[in-house]
Amino acid sequence: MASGPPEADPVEADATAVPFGGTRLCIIVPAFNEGPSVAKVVVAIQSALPSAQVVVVDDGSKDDTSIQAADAGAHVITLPMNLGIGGAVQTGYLYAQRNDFDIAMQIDGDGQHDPREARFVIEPILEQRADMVVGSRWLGRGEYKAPSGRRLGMRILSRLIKWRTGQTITDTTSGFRAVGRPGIALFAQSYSSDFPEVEALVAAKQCGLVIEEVPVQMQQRLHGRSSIAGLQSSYYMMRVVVALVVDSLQWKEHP
Amino acid sequence: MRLTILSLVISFGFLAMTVRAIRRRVLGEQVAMIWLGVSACMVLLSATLPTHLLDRAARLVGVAYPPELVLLLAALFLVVLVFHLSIAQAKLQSKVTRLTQELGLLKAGSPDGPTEDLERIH
Repeated sequence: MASGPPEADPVEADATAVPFGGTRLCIIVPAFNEGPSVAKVVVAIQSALPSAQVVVVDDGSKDDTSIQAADAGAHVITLPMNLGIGGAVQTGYLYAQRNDFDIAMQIDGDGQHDPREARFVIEPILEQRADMVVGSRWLGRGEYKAPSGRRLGMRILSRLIKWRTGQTITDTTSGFRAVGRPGIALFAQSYSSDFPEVEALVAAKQCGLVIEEVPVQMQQRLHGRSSIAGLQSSYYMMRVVVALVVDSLQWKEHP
Repeated sequence: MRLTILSLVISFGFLAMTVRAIRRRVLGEQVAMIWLGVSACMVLLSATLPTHLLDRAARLVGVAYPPELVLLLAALFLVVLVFHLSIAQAKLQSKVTRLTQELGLLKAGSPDGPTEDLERIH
């Protein structure tokens, strides 16, 4: 090692990740047993956002998710145990914070989110109109279909978020979202483990972050099922409602 | 008298179990104090059975049926204990989560050599 040519400093090598005129972008891909689809997702992200750093957080998968993702060229963080979606995504935010990224964006590892749409989600942050941007299925673009029961659930969640934040967010459970530096710092420090998507909105708003929602197209997932599917969805709803009510009771230390 | 002896035996047995656990350092200090207190209460209750201390105490707080007082206190104690354990468990949970994250980040290494790192692990 010592006799070889001097290797590039990690920070310097990292600086190749320069999209959008000097802004460093980190794509967080949480993946749990997504072996069959994760490589496709990574490749799609790399071709849509060539200068972004793709970080796959393998949440203790039992299959070859880590190997598939690494072979596709992603930086892979393999968690030794399964933490659930919240813990996995937070790992990505910790990574983004410690490696000094300007923007961190989440894209699911199941192929549901189209990386070509990512630029719409990043744009408001680049233009400094927002600190946090959520890509929504329900704002007119694309033809994403959901069962009526789930639509009802999403409407209820939307109402709850309106109650907690005073802002209308149509797609509260969307994992297609991006944050700038303040959001990275916030989520690296605290991120809900159970229902992170919904609660993160409340946390961000409470910290004074400006949230914007943009219309995006979403695909039906490549394989597998949503973590919120079938009969479980009503159970999910119930727990999110409880979590939000509990959250509203908590003391918050305002900076 | 037979009942007093029986409950004294059980109480001292529990006290011995607690002391043994403390000496083997399998109980945390804080929890050890709680269980020593419980053992002491059990011994006290057993030893004072012939003096009807429990009956007098029950009358004092207005409980008509003395054994109810013991059950009430026991239930209260257990509720508080479980609550305490829930908090301890939640704290541990968040510590384990953070440790898992740190370990994952550590193993993954610096961003410029991801594949190399992974090959080394597998």
